[in-house]
Amino acid sequence: MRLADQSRDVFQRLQYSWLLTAAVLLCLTSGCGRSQSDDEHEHEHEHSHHARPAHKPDNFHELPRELQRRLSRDESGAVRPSQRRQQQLREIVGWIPELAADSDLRRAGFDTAVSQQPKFQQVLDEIAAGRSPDMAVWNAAVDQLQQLADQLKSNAENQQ
Amino acid sequence: MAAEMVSGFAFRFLISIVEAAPFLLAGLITAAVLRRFFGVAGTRRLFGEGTRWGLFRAWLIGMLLPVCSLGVIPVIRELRRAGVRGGTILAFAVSGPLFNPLSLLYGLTLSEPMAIVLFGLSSLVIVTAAGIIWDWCFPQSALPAPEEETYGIGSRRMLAVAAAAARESCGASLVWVLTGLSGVGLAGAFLPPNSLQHTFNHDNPWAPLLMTGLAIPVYATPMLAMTQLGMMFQHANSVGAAFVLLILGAGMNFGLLGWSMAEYGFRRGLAWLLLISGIALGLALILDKPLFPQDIEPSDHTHAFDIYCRPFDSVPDVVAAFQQRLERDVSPWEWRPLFVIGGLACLGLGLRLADRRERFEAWLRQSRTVSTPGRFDIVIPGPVLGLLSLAGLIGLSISGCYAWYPAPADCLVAMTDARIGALSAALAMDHEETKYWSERYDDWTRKMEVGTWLRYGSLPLYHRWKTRLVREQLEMLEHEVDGGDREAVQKLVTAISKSQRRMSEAYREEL
Repeated sequence: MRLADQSRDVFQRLQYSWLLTAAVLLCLTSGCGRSQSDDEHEHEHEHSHHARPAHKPDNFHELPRELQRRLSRDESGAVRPSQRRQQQLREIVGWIPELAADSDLRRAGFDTAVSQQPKFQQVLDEIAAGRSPDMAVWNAAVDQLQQLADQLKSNAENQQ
Repeated sequence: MAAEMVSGFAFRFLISIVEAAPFLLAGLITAAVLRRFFGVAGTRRLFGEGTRWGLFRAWLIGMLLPVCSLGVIPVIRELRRAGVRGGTILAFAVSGPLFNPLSLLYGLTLSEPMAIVLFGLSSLVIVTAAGIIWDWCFPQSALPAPEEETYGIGSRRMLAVAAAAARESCGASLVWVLTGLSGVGLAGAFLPPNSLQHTFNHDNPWAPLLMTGLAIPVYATPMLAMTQLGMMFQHANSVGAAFVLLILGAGMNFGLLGWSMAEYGFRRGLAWLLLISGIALGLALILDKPLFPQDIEPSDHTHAFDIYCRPFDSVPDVVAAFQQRLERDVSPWEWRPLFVIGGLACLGLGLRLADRRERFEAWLRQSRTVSTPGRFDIVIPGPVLGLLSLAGLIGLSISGCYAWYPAPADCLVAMTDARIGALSAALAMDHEETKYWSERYDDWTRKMEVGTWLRYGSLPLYHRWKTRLVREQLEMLEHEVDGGDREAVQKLVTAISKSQRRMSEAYREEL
């Protein structure tokens, strides 16, 4: 009984401070509302997030071609991509699972495609470290992806 | 505007009380089991009172019991009555709501498993550190233990449990539960629609602090907090903010704070809040960078917190919109636990009005003359029954996982309506409908992932990606419908249909 009375008493004393505390916490979180221009600005950001990067291959078929094209030897026979190109290559390698999943590859093909990722990363790490990369590893991985892409193409043709 | 704010408060309040009902019921049963089966001495022993294991036990029991931050209120009131130390009670109050088997499974499958394990261990650090400091600062916080009550065996003991739960359901616990729900109601009234989409981005250094401001007033069930955590990881939002959301969003609310201040005094209650928030924030800052997902492109927004904002904006008829959303957001079966609590509260009210002096309980305590027990009659001690009851509650929540997360084939069938709804609404360029059905479609893909993990012991990357693609395309679809780009919408509808076919084949044929 003593506890119940005490609870009731303190509850009555606290109820107004709760409202104040709640208002302060919520204003802190939301910034007390937003203007129309803020909302419009955010909307642009939302759409910009979903914009497709220019160097992202459209589909799995384009993937091996893009990887091959963006890492080739220059006139002197050396492999020296710019920092920007290296970053783009890393991103393309990172998209392998997504592009493979967004194709008709079955599980075994998907796993083969994903297993090429560390090989590409190894070559890119060598380039980043200033060493001469093992292009045989890169090319073999590209070939694997190309085989999968060809297989997909022939399956699609057979179905038609 | 005023009508929208009032209806926003009422809507969020009502939705939350429906979500809380099963956990509240579990809390009421747990409190009654502690009082009648364990008794004062048994409860103190269970929570390690007088030993150095009190805080750890409070954390462990809290992690196992299926209660939320509102369902924990009747339990901590019972612990207080039994004379358990303040630090132990407050540690249980915070850790109890953080995880349950359902939410843990969801988190391990759909968030970063390592992050969830670390979050769980960090919660132990928080409640232990805060509990030790609080007990050191405020010793002698326990009430004197009341006299032990012994009940007769058999049906009398069972009736005593029911009576305890009924009385509690319409007592002080109810007041504190309603106080706890006021926070989420106020957020629904005052936060402008969609105003939290960018607040917790990974590049916002204030995200964990801002999350503290949101997480303390609002109420989140363990499952909701885990869902939001999953979405934050999916969008690569601030990991620190995600951690604060788990600890304070699921573990704290105005009702708990109010109770601690009423029981221990304003200063001690505030000290508890500052201790928990301070340690949680510190750990959030430590975990923020190391646990940041490396394989996900950070998004500049999330929809995870739209549900805390005002639900109605510029609607011509607020009452009709309120009714429509309520019918859609709450399935008929979700009302049932609330009806059970309502029935229990009516029973409790009847008992309180008709029997203020607890003569019914006194009658139950009278020892019955028992004839010589039969050969196979075994009198089971109360604490054993209590342990069995708590184990049953835990077992029920574990077996409930199989019902909540159906087999992949069942999920694929169940998501059909949501898929058709989302794609049809998108083609009609109806944003509200697209958003509504997309969320349900998205939810079924997540349930399918957890259901797969539960039944097959793992979720291969191949399957993970198949569901992730559908979800990402759904999110883009919603944005394109909102932006009014009909051509992009048509392309996405085709893409989603294709991804759905591949996902279906993967989950049906290649598991």
